[in-house]
Amino acid sequence: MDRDNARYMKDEYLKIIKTYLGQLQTAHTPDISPAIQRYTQNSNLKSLSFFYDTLLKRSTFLDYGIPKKPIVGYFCNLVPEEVIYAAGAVGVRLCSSDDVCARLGEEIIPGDFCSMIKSSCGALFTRRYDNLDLVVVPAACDGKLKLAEVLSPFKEVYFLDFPRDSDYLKNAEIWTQKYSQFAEFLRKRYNARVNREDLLNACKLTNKRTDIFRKIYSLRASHPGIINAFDYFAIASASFVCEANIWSAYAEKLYKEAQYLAGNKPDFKGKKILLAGSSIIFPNYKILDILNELGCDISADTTCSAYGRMYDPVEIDEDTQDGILRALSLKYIAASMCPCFLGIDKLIDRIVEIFREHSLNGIIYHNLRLCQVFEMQSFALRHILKDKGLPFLFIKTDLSKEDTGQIKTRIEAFLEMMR
Amino acid sequence: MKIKKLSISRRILQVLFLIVIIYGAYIFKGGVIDKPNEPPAQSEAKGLFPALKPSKGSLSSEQFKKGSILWPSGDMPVFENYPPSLVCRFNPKGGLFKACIVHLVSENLTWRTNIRYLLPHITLFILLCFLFGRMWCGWVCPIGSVGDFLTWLRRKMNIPVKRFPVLMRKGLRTSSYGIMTLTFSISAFIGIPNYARFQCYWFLPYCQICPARLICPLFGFIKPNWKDFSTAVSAGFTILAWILLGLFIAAFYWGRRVWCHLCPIGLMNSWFNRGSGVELKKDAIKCNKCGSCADSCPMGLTEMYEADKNIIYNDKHCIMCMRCVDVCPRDSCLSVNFFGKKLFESKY
Ligand code: SF4
Ligand code: SF4
Ligand code: SF4
Repeated sequence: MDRDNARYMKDEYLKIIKTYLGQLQTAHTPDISPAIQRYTQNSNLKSLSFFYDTLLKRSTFLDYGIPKKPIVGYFCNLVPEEVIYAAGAVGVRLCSSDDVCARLGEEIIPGDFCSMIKSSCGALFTRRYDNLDLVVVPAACDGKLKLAEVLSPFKEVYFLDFPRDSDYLKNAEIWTQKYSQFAEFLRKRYNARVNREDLLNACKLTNKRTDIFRKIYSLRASHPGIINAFDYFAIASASFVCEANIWSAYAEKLYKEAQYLAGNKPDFKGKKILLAGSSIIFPNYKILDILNELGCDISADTTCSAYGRMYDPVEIDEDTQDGILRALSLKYIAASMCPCFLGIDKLIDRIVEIFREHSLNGIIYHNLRLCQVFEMQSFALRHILKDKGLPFLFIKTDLSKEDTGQIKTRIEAFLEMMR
Repeated sequence: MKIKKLSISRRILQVLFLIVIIYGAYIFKGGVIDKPNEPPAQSEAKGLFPALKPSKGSLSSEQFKKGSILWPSGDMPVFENYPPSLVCRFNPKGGLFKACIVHLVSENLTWRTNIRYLLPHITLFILLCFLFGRMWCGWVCPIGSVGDFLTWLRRKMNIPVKRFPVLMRKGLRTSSYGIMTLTFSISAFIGIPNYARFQCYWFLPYCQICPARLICPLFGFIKPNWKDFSTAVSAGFTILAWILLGLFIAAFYWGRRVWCHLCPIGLMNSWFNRGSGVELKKDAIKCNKCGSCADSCPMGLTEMYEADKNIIYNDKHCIMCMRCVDVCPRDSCLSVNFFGKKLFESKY
């Protein structure tokens, strides 16, 4: 946007924010403490409190203490967090699934648009992100693309563009180039080095996180119910706003505690479900609520908010600066199961593999309403998985609570069918 | 970050083999023996691995004289064997083994050795290839190890790798056939009694330009004969050797194992690679198409990444370095098998 338009738009945004924030009780919207209170009731692990605290604290204000580091926000799972760390900044994933924010976002973004985009946009307008320095928007879907433009008058935006065929052979060169440009941008902006050592150290941080996440993931799959699905996704959502090293330290603690409990845990009786599809981010626990009521456990998932975010490590072969950036692009883009990319086979393979490995009972494919890419691939998924004999349920919903009853009925029928 | 076990053991073995192959002679012979390469008597050509020798009258020892291009080659090796990797005849003090397979073939084409004497050597070569495939390239070859050291150096200096285009790789592979054919036909040609006069300059044509000729003696602190302009032919060979050495260093320095696309010894190993005891397997369902395997392959092979079905992989060009198995981040997606028995599998 050119400068005059941008200035005008910024004023408009501020007006909207002002009227909107006035309607809400607290200055720091949205208030997620009731949700936290509600879900912590079920959890039996002491170390979980850190994650809920983080969610609560950082949802009111992103404060990373002293010495002050610049905060770089990013969307999706396609922006190399390691590069942000290497630039001496803190990365915050901005994806939000808060209904309140979605309604604020709707003031700007048309109603019949993906609620995640609306919510993310709305969340950025709350006071929570006042000290955010930069927003990095990857070229995931069209919504994200335009979101970059919508946000640009309001915050400094870096648009990370790359080809969306996740074939390594075709595009690795370009991905690396794009990541290098991003590193170069951060280098200039923060006067940082972002060299080989910095990147290696950052990769060590995230790989440590992957390490512990994998442990938790397999513990959950082998001992269903030991960490319930609410807590699991809260832990994952906490990683959005928590530095990797601190997160890993606490997750390690949590893992030890859960492992200790796992020894004398009675067998889980209910169904074990694999949740695929759109991300589940903290307060949007509708599906989890329903499944919990019906006595199921989500033992595994392939969503980009938990599994997709932390399961894959950076695998560095060439430990030169370029090589590391390339390895990062392989982790974030080539291995990505995001439906924005070509290549549904990966997702099918993953679902089948996880399903068989942990002998789960069914697959629920969760689709945030109005996300076309997720929806378009659901047809193929349904038929291919049915062909392989895996029970599959497609659920389309959004952030509001209206259709809870209806979804519940469908899931009940699905569970009945599996029996 | 995970410890890359295979790569570490490979490094260790490469260094060990380098030491053993190059300095083995010092250890096993109990010191330095300065024994000139007198042609052994015909009667010595017996035993399991007979010392091969020039047939009578066909070869002058002109070219082994000090100052000629094939010098130094004076000492006898510990074992009269020809393992399937670049074990050079120019190793200081004769080395542990005699020479490489290209040397074996070309010298005996010239000498017109009776196949009887060659058979044990060739059988051993095929047997070793059959057991380990091109692991000789990935794990043993001293020249490969020297090259890997250069690659390591490059990485430490933060110079990005050059990934050569597929077409160039294909071109190099084809040239290796050319080099080999030329070498063998020249060798056979000068073996014909009528043309024996060419032997002084054209003997062992590949050895004369092989970079190992210039590199191996350095390990024994012997100055290789890096220039010989006495005749037009040897001047030509000298210059070709320089070019090839330059290519060798450049290839290893900017790329990874680019030399090995061109190497005729590697080419001869590669014929026996498919069907060898060591093989790689891919369990396709576990793959997440991250491309790390293709990205890390020093030979630029991508089949591991591309395969959508479970495959047993030992491509001709795969040097069995097993880097792909090592970097694959998916548990038990890729594995190393020895006659069907799983030895190692990829692990996060
Ligand atoms: S191809 Fe490479 S590793 Fe194999 S023998 Fe030739 S130089 Fe050595
Ligand atoms: S395919 Fe694997 S084992 Fe073969 S050369 Fe490439 S990285 Fe090495
Ligand atoms: S490294 Fe492993 S997971 Fe990645 S593409 Fe290769 S085989 Fe697949």
